[in-house]
Amino acid sequence: MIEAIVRFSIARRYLLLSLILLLVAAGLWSYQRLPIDAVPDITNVQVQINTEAPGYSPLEAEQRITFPVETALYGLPKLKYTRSLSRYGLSQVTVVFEDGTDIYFARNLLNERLNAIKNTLPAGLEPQMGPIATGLGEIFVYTVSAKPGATDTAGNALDAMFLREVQDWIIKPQLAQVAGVVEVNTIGGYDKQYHVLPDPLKMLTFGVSMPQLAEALRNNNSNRGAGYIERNGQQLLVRSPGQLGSISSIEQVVVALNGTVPVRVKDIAEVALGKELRTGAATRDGEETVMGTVMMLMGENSRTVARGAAQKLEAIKASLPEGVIVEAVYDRTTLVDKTIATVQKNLLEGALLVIVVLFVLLGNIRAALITAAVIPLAMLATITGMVQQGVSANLMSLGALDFGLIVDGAVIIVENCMRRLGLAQQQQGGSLALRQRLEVVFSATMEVIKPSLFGVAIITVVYIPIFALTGVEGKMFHPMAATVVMALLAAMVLSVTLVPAAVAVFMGGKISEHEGRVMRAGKSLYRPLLKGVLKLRALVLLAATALVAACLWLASTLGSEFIPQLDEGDIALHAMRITGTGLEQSVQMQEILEQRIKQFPEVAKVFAKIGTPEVATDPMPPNVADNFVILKPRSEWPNPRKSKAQLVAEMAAALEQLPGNNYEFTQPIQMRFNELISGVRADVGVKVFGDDLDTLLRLANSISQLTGSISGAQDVAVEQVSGLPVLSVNPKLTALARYGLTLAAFQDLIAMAIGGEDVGLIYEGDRRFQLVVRLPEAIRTDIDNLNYLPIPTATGYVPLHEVASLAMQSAPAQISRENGKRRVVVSVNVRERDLGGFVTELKQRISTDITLPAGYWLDYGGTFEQLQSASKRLSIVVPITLLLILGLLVLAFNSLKDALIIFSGVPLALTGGVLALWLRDMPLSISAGVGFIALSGVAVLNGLVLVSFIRQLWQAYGDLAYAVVEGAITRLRPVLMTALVASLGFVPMALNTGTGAEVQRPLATVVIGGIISATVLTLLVLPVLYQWLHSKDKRPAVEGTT
Amino acid sequence: MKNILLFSLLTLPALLFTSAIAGEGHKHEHTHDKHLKITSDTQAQAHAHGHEHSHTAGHNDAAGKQAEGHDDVAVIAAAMAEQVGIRVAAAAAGTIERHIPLYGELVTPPNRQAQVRARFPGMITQINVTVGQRVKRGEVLALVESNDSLRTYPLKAPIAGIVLQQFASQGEYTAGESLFAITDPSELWAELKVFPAVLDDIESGLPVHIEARSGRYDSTITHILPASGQPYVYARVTLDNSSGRFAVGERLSALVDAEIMQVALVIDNLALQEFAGQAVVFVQNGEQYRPRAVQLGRTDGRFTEVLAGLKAGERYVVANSYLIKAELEKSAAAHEH
Repeated sequence: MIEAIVRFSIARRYLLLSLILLLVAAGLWSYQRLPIDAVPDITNVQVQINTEAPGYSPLEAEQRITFPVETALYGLPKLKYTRSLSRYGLSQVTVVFEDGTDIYFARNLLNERLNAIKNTLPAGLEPQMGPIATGLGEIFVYTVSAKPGATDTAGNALDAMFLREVQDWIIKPQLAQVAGVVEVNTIGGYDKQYHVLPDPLKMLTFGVSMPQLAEALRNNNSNRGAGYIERNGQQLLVRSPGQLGSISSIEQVVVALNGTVPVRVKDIAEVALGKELRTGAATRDGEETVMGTVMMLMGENSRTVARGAAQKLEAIKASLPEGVIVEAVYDRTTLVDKTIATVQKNLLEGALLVIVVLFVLLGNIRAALITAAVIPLAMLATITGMVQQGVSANLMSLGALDFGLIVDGAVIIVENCMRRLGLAQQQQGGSLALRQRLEVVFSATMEVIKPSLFGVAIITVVYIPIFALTGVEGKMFHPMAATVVMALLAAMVLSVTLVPAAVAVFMGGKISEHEGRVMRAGKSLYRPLLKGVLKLRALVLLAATALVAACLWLASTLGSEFIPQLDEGDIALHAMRITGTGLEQSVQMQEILEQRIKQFPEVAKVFAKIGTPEVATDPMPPNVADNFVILKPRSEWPNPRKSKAQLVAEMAAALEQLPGNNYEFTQPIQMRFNELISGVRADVGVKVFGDDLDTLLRLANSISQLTGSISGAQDVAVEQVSGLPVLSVNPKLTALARYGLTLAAFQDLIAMAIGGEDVGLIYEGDRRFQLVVRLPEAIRTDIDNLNYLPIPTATGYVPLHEVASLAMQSAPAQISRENGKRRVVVSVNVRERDLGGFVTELKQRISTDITLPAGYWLDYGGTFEQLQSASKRLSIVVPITLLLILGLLVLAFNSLKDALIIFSGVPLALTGGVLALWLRDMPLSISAGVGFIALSGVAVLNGLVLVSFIRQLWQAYGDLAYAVVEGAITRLRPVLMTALVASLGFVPMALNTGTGAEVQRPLATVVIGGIISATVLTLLVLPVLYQWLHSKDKRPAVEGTT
Repeated sequence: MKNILLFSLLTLPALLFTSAIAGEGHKHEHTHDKHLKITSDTQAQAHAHGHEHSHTAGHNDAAGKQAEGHDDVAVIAAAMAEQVGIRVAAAAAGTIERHIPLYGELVTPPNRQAQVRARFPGMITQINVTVGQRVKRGEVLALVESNDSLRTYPLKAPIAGIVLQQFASQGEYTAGESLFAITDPSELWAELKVFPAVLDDIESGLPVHIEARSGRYDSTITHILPASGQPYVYARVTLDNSSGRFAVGERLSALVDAEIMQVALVIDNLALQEFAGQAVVFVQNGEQYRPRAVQLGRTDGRFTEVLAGLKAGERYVVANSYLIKAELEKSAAAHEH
């Protein structure tokens, strides 16, 4: 079949060349549709169900909201697990579905379930699903601020409330319409509210109570339509307006009658614009601000959406009130552009190097260009494939592409065609006839097509273990493997179709058989060397084995990391204060923190979100702030060579001076991923499930003690659940009854007095603002005098201390649940000990030493699970892969022995990779692992080319020694070429310091080091092995190979 | 022999490969200061997290020891303290003023109001005053012609005051019912309700500051008297109303100086924080701040008496003491998702 394809390609060479245009067109078309982002999306399929419950303590939120919601989710199809969080005023249930579940299907299911439980939830609370976005969704952040000294039309300074109104009613509605935007999330400033602040004394004077006031406001704030009447043929609509529209109209509302005199709102209360009790704040460069985060719909192209948002924001600026400044502070486009630039740079430099190498070694610019042409074409084909397969372009998926590796197959074919054409021309003593030329091209192609196809097939096969990874690792590396495999397949197809066709078309002229000077020098060096090692074969084999053994040991001393971290170019840091820190206190501390960060000359901007935004996509308590530090371009740094790690260390040291903050440094996208994936991030997590929080905590503490006593345990920690200070107003029931008060009335009153109660909306055109009744700020916040707050009774009043007592308590700050049960996690990291053994001992010790009360149980989780399952899978998949490669080799040669000989090139190649890592002081990582995988492929490819040729010669001449030496020398050029293009193609990556380099560097390092060793060893050890192992064999039968 | 060699060469890549990817669990890099750097992998991320937690555990121990009064110290550079607004003050003697708010209303004292009746039934022949008119004591309000004697006698004002009401007109027959109500507004009583919980703190003679519509007036509690059938008692305050700024029936709030005393050592309430389950103040020593458990006495909402734990002259943090608490407990601050 391959023969037919090659023959067809050569015969219909012009048709084939014109098909390139089609490929290019498809590639360009796909490129427009290729989702491009900086990093692969590792978010699982999840839906957040947020229920805002103002005034609910964590315990109540859990009991009244979280529990019914969780229970409603039991038995959902494709449900993986649920986890929940109950905080002050918020219940968040995160529902995680199995990977691959359609998000819209999942949301539909949830919608149905949530509808069904509406009646069981407390009145007025409505669970809402979070936006359809992933961890990559926060693509664009902007701040709304006021010019210094700017005033509104009335001459008042523009305050946070005004800015928030601008954001909510001018900016957000417009931005939300940008295609691909799913949500614009606001944080910071204050929602404008109309406040009715009654004076307790005046209410006593007029005998009016707060519920009365609220009721009056509710009943005096609506328009009513009354149908229509016809009059003289004209239709008249009838309506009765009554809606409140201004402070003065609110003041005029009649609350009660005192005798015959109406008591109006203004008689007993002050009406003013007021601030909401906010849950979150935003700061920028040390000042409070209003911040909007544009979230991208799942599956959209972040660059397009971010750019769209940026353009829209520019347009919106025209419609802003005088003095309001809107500024983008984070734009994903920057990162994506940088990523693309990195990939482009690598592609271009790699391609150039490949062309240079080909030119030097082939001595023919046309041949070099034909081979190099495979690079962009394979790239375009890959892009088409990626779009079809839904693989996004990012650092991981594009980062592992080595164009040297991709053109290997083409190199071998072009080289052989060149050699044969030159040879044929020499025999003919002039240029060849077309027919003849085509024939030569065909036979030359067929001569090497098998090893080259097998080689590419093998390189493809070695990527299979990567597909066995699951979870986060899988999501990180599947795109990479898929992209590489697609690129290789594309190159493979091109090398059997386009390459022979192009050679047939373009290599018509005189082809010098003379190899370049480089090759001649190389060969004259290689021949004596080869002959020498063939004599000392025992020594060579021993040395090779020793080298492999030494490198194995070396590999075990290298550090290791599982997943490489992509440098996003910016810094994110959590600033954490102690539980119970108030929002305003947090803002104050945040401002000082930002002022300090801003002093770093490398920092362009710093901004932060404190607490929970309007849509609780990331529900943080007020004591936690997500800081984003946007760095200047390196060229503007005082020392552009300073590493980011060093900058971060300096920053950490400087911030350590600030009192009261704790930090965790990370990166914007990474932070978001961590928030969404959540899970236990330590090696081992012992999850204690049960009902009673105190019991859970007690159990967790004893488990933590026990865990600490096991050797290898480090950083043992119990999840923090407590520490939220609470002021309890404990009602005295008998006293209440004596004064004729009901508990509910009393509680309503307290809630209304301190928390406030929404009694309606005030409309200003489209804009709507809440009308709230609550006590004036001075009275509301005065805890000392709360005891004396008059509570109205039927006959007068009674001070609060008569009917209730106040107590300061500490309450759970947060209640975490998993799969419908309360949970406390004990997490531990394991050092210098085998993780599996540790977990076994831990389980055994816990089962003997800890008795769990009925209704309590344990579960084990943590990264050890992933590691174990990854190890397990790999321990099955890797041998199978190796067998598969072996099988392919056996298929190619009909000889197990030859297959094994070629295979021996793999460990030899790996030695170079390990040495290179060691020299550059890099840990073993999956990136490096991928490098080893690619390396194995190259090594096998080289071996294949060499062995198949030696075999052909042996068959042809029957002299093993001659075949080995001549075969090796003839194949020196392709072996060197494939090796050089593959390794030089990686040189830009290995030296790169740009965005994304940290993923590519280990990979490139391994490949470069490995290829050097593989080439040397293929050229020296392989012939030795071949000769040794075949020394007693007969000359192989001719039909064994083509 | 050859085959063994070959086989071992072949198994090596498998081993190497597995150790590269899966063997990660057996070895970790573990630099403790790693959480200060951009963590290079999620693994280290977990370590960083855990690291904080280990502080937490350590902190709990420290909290235990803290009761003995050492170990916990926050070091904040002077410039930094200045910048973040940490202010200290020396502990000293001071005044504790304990105030109790009460509510009540203004009533007319019984001796300042009078109902004027005709002594003998008869005909009202003349009325000399109108409602609202100010009358002197003894001033003739009306003339009544007695039925018995048919003599006309004057009806005089029993007290000076204002004619509040007039119930009859000239020519009417009166038989002992009230004809005029006179009230003297120059002095009023504020009747403040005292509920049982604060009863012990309220006694007659205590200074009281009345908060009325027209302003604030200082006076003293005249006497305490029970209100019949009610759970509270009245604290009565006499108010001079010669200027007429108060109205009868007006609701008032009042602040009683329940206690004003000099104490040997007071601290500003802003300084008080809860730390490791105890009330503490943070004592400054150069750039070091240490929590000091204090035993507290009476408080007035602004200042609190210190019974033990702090000596006069020691410098304690007044403003932004929360920052010190946050600094000491910060290792426990983690962000759980």
